[in-house]
Amino acid sequence: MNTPARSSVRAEKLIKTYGSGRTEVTALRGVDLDLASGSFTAIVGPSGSGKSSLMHCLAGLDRPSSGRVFLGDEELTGRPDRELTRIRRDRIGFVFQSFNLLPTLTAGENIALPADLAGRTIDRDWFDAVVTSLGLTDRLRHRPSELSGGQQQRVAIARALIGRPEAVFADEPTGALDSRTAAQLLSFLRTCAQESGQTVVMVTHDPIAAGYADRVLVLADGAVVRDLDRPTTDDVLDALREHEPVTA
Amino acid sequence: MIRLALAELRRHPGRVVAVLLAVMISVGFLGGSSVFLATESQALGRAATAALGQADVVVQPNGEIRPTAQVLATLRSTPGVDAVAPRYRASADFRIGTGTTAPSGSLDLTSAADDPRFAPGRLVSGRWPTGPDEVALAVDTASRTRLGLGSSLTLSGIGGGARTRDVTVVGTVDAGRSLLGGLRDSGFAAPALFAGDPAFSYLVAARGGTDPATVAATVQRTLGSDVEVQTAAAVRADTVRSLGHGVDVFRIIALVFGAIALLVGAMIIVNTFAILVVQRRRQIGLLRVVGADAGTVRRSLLVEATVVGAVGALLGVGLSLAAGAAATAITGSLSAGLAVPWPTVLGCAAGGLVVTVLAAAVPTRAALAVSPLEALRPVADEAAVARSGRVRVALATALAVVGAGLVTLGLTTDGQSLLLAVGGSLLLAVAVLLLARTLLPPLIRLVGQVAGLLGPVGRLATANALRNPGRAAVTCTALMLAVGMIVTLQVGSSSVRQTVIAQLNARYPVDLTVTALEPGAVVPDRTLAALRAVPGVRVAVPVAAAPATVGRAGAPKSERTTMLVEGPGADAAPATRSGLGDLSDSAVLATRFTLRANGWDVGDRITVRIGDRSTTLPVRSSNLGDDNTLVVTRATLLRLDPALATRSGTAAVWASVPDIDASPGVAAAVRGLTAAGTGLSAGGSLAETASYTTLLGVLVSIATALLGVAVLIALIGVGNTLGLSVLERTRESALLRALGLHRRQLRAMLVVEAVLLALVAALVGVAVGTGFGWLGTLAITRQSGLGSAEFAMSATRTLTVVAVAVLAGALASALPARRAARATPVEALADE
Ligand SMILES: Nc1ncnc2c1ncn2[C@@H]1O[C@H](COP(=O)(O)OP(=O)(O)O)[C@@H](O)[C@H]1O
Ligand SMILES: [Mg+2]
Repeated sequence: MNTPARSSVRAEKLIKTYGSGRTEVTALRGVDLDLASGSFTAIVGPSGSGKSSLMHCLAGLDRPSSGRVFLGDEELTGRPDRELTRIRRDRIGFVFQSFNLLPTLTAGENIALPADLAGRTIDRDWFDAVVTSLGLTDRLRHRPSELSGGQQQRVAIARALIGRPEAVFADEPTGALDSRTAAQLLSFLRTCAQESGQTVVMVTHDPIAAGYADRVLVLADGAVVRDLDRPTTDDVLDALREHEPVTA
Repeated sequence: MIRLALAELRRHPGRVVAVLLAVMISVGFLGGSSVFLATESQALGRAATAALGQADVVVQPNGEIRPTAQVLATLRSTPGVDAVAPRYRASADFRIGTGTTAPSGSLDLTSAADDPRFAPGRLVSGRWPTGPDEVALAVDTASRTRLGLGSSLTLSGIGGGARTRDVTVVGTVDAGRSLLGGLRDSGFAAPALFAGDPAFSYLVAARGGTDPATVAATVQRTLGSDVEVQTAAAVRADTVRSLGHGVDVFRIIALVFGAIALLVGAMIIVNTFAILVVQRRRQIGLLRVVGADAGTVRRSLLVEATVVGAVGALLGVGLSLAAGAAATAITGSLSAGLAVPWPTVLGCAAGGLVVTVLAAAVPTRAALAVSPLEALRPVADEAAVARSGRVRVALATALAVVGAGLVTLGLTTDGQSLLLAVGGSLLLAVAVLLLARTLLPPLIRLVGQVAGLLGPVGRLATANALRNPGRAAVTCTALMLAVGMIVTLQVGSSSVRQTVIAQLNARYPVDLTVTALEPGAVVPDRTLAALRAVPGVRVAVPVAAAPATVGRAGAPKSERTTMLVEGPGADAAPATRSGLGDLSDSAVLATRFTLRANGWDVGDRITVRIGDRSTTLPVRSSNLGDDNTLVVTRATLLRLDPALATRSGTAAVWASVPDIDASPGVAAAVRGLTAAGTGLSAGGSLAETASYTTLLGVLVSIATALLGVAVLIALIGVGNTLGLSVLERTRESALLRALGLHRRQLRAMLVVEAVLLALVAALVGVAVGTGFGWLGTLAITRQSGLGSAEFAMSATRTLTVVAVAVLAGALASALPARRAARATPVEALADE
């Protein structure tokens, strides 16, 4: 719907190496990408292919060894930690595979946390809308230890959406969920991209999960090897098989 | 299992550093004080030995005093006696140079005989004094007064007499020295200086090969029962024994404070191991999965505790030696050599080890509860719900009821007030400690509300402080105990002082009086000016005064005495505490002591005569003047001695020193202004107020320093709890960073958490300590019949304790906070 697509998340010649000398590992070897506003992109690839490293660099959680990363028209690379932290807080939402929530806070407090940290007042109507659509209305006063894994992930998504961030990054968000709960969650992520114009980037190794995305980037050995537009689950599986180093 | 325990220690030594420090400091404190006391005792023995030289027998007059020459002659002709020397002793005031500000003090003088066998010490430099104008000084006295060979000083009031003598320092002497023997200045002089005084004792050297005991018996028989004859060995033993009581008191005090330090240390050890067990739940569960039984796991933890306890205790022994040597170096006793009571020191070390293992055993029981399945489950925060809570509360309530009963009994009955109140307070204290776990979390929440105003960081910190109430309670309790005891002492001593001073104030309406003793003498203007310039003196008013002949009207001349009569005018009222109320033209005022000493009754008519004028007035009892002084109105006095109105200078000055804390300084200045030779004398409550203030000040300082060790250990505990919590919360910290918490905010969060814990602990400590301090004062007042107790506490001192606790708490969080802030956001995403 957003045509011509405005660029939201962009990377140029991204290189990431860990360690040095003999133990040096290159996780990303020159990745270029450009993700449009309101798109839902899945990054897939075998384990060790560099998916997490790519996401960390794109989301301002880690610094690439070289290359540049942009969020909207602002460059993330080369900024001091204070500014990166503020950008994460104000403009990016996160959903992690596990351990998403602070155990000392209730679900409601966890959802409000980024806004709270920024000192922003929360849009009550939007809060209610998000919480209702995720089915969390009567769970807000519970602590994470009193919630199921699926509920915890939904709380994390609510938190990622409540500040209407430009970009939402999710690292294996369905990894710890059963397939039915996972399906609900993925549909919700797609709705976010479509209806709120948010850029959703999801890292996964699950072809079914990737099937929910508009666009799928296949990563192998630190480089983007395929760029699939609205693929089916089977397309993704084929692409993955093609680049699997060892047959699973 | 032992290998596992050691591997664990090697890999994470940081986790047990707090235990190591706690054990080391407690053992070091206990062992150090025993090394200190042993070294002081040894120095005391050396000093006692040095004083007698190589004498074998000591003869001390204890009945009628016979001429020295006669005793000497008798002794010399006694069989078995080789040599005899009289020993003289006297005290004297000394002054270096002239003027009112010249350094001065008092000196214990001992005679140095010509015979080197009877030297009262070891000559360090110069020579022994030979004439009446020479002295030798003890080395520490010489260094304290900065006097050296060739310096001159003036001795006055030698042996209580009026003799004054200018003398030159010709030598310095090491006479041994010990804190316990008193730290008085001492000097040595030739017998000629004591000319005319009877000998204090006679030192006798026995002929070679003669048994001193035999000689002593012979001398006793020859001289009869007017003298006490002892062998030198017996005298030395007596000296050490009599001063040894001081050692016992010190030992008990050191033991009490050491035990407190060890108790606080034990709490920290319990806490540390409790946290270690939680952190290792998974590992323990895994061990259980692969077949280790619960006992094995527990033994491994105990091995760890034993290793840590042993290392800590060993370090503590090292600390004991270092601290003992440092402390005795300060008192000067180290020069007699360091005495190490190894059995005691090693006993302390063993005690530290046992306490460590016992303290670790409590939480390791929790390790038994870890089932193999737990290896797979994430750590639940709310795991430690107080199950035994109800039992604890019931027990605490019972103790509190009994304790309150004992205290009430003590405060309402006579006899054993102090004992009952102290016993009851101990029970109450245990009740408070037991209730800490129940009471502290709501308090933390309450204070946390304030922290919450700081924004999300404050709220997160409060939530963190509360997430494990048991852990927070133990951390706080250790600090609470230490702060509580310091405040108890502070409030108790302030209140006791206030109570005593209230009594003094009732007795002395004027804080300070300075009077000229000789007839016709006046307080010099420069003395009045100097007095007014002393910080702490609010007003100093000249009061007309003159010596008069006083007696009951009509009494014969022989019953009259001379007394100073003071005539304060209206301008003297500001120098008194409650005005000149009792004073009127129709009476003379005398203290109850003056009335009793002269056999007067209230209402008796007293004739006061100055020169050829006299007046006769009824006497009333009043505290306004000093003892042996009468007080009349200025008008009455001027009628008796009209010349006073025009004469410059007065014979008396009244001054007010309202600030009790300034009293020691004022008293010292006044001592200088009224020193021997000035013809002035000081009266009023100042001297006593000053000595109570100084004494209690010293006691509180020493006790605070000793309890400071406990505070230190408690704060190590705060840092440790936080440090271990930070390890637990690594992923959480990373998550917060990913969600947009600045590094600075993350650090602030930890600091707030530490400050919150320290503040709550300090506040409870202050509240409870204030209560106990007041209870103690009530009990002491009742026991010693001091009248009504007065409450007093120094806000500055108490707030200082709170501030130090809070600041140190913040400081203790610095390392854990840095570690927490190092967490990178990426860690939150890392697979476990
Ligand atoms: N912190 C790190 N230190 C060293 N090597 C790392 C680190 N993180 C990832 N790597 C390496 O980088 C490569 C890519 O890892 P990652 O981005 O986690 O891939 P994926 O998420 O696709 O499994 C792997 O070889 C991995 O071992
Ligand atoms: Mg990964």
